[in-house]
Amino acid sequence: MAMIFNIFTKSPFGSIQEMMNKVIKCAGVVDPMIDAFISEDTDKVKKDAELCSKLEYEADKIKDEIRLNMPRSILMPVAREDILHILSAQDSIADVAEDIGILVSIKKIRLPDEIKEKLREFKNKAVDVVKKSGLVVEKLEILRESSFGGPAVEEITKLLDDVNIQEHHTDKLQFALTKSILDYEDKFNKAEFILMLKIVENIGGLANAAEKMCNRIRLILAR
Amino acid sequence: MISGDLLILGAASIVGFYMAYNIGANDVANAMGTSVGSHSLSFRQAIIIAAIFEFSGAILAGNHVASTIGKGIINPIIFSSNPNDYIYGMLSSLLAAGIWLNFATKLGWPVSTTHSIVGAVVGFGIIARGVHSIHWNVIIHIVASWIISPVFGGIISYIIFSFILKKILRSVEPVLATKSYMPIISFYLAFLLSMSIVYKGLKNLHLNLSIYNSLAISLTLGLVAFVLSRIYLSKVKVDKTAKPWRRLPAVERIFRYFQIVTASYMAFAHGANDVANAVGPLVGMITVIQSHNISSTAPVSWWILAFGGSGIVIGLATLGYKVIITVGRKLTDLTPSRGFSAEIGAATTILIASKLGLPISTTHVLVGSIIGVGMARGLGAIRLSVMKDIVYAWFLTLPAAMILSAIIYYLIGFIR
Repeated sequence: MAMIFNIFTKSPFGSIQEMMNKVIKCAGVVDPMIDAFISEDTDKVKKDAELCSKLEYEADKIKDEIRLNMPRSILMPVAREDILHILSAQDSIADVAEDIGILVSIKKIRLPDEIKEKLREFKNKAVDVVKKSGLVVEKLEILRESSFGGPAVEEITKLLDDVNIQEHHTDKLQFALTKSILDYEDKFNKAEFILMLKIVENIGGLANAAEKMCNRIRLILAR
Repeated sequence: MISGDLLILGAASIVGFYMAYNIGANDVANAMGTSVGSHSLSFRQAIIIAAIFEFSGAILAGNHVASTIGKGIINPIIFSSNPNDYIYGMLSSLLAAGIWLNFATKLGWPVSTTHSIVGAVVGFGIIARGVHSIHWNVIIHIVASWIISPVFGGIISYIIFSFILKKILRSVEPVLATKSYMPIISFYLAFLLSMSIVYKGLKNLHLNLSIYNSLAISLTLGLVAFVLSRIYLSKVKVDKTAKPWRRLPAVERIFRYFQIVTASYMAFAHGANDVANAVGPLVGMITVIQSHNISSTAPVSWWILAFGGSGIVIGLATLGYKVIITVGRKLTDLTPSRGFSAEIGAATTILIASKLGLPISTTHVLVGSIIGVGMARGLGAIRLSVMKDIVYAWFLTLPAAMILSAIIYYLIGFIR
């Protein structure tokens, strides 16, 4: 009888998109947060860090719900493992953003102008990589219409290549910034020095996580 | 004697009508839900189309299956010494199937009307005249068809959707590809549809066409469909500036029109196969009452089929619309190209089964067809666990309907 239409269940692609929107929002907070950190606005840093943590929690909840709705008996056009990997990569983007929030709210640090400049450029690039990877996720729905084949694949491959290139740029900026921090070693005390390196490492981690997600999407296309 | 017969016939008609009403209320969503879900049809259009095609399917092509249920499972001839046993037995079967369906639906089990009525008829046959009264070879065919039909529907849908995917949805020029391939699919559709109606069908119109005449008519209609769809498609504008994947919504808009055809096809097939679940026993009973010397060759009267068809339409108009709306809302994932493929697979299978006089579950065939589209990577997510539920309900329905029908027959034996 009619309840047989229970055979249809929520498509994971809409949910992945929903999750990505939350993740981009979360990673987007890193942008004003680092700006506040640079200008030593402690209150603003704290507020942004809290917002980041709240968005991360919301993203987590979406992730749990998707996982709950994906038992092994569900037939999808892509492998279940791929979907789960994309989800955990998205999750780690939000996790890293939250960690950055925690690190920058530990201590106020006075930065030399050169480092300020480089840090600003670096975090802009890293957040940009996350946003670009969001474009790829948006295209998944279009890809679904042609069941993961056809000319749309080429378009997405271009976007994926772009993410890889941008991530590579981020790596270069990270290298330069780390070098500058070492050059200005005597401007920081030991704790500040370690903290700075950790912050830089995590901002780089943001771009890395986004790239990891994109590589998983590339695997779907290769099948 | 005659008045007693009429009383029983009246009672059986009420139960039969109730069954038809339930089929209309619940199962018509199978035929129309996908089209409403993909916005190919408005709700009002869906109701009108369903009413017309369910009814015509029932009276034009419903005779084979009705006669299988009424006369094929148990041969009425073995009751010639005591025709009343047969009449009461068929009444018990209808009652048992009706009660079982009501019970199972309340509990939300995906049981099939077809399986219930077949089980019930077998149950009364065994209790009334023993295991040997059942035509087991017919039963084997029927049960085999229950397994084969969903698989068959799934394979057709898989092939059709894979074809659409490869040739149209993944094409660099999807709209142009639609224009060149859809007329071929239209030809296939019209040919198959008219062949299944015209060849050995339409007995009720007393047109006995030979296979050559049927082929000629079907080929002609196929060509007409080919030309008409070409004319229609030539009017569709192609936006050459948009990127190929941006043109897919335009392709789906074209498929909407074609899905109206497959939905009608589906409603026709559904009417043809499922009207028998309600009127099959009536067919057997009326044959017996009319002649009072049981003959198993009397044809199925068109007015019995029309009676069942009316029950389906009334059920559809009074309750079915709610189910269609609920189902339609759930099917957001099913775009017209997907719904089209699933409906072709299901309707083709159901019509072939009707032609062979096999009572199959249209619901299960549709499930098979939807899974076929899913296997071709056409759908976002499908719960395969539904299949498990169906198999459980399947193993439950046959014994339950058999036992229930046997008990009712036994009880009626006390009363009369």
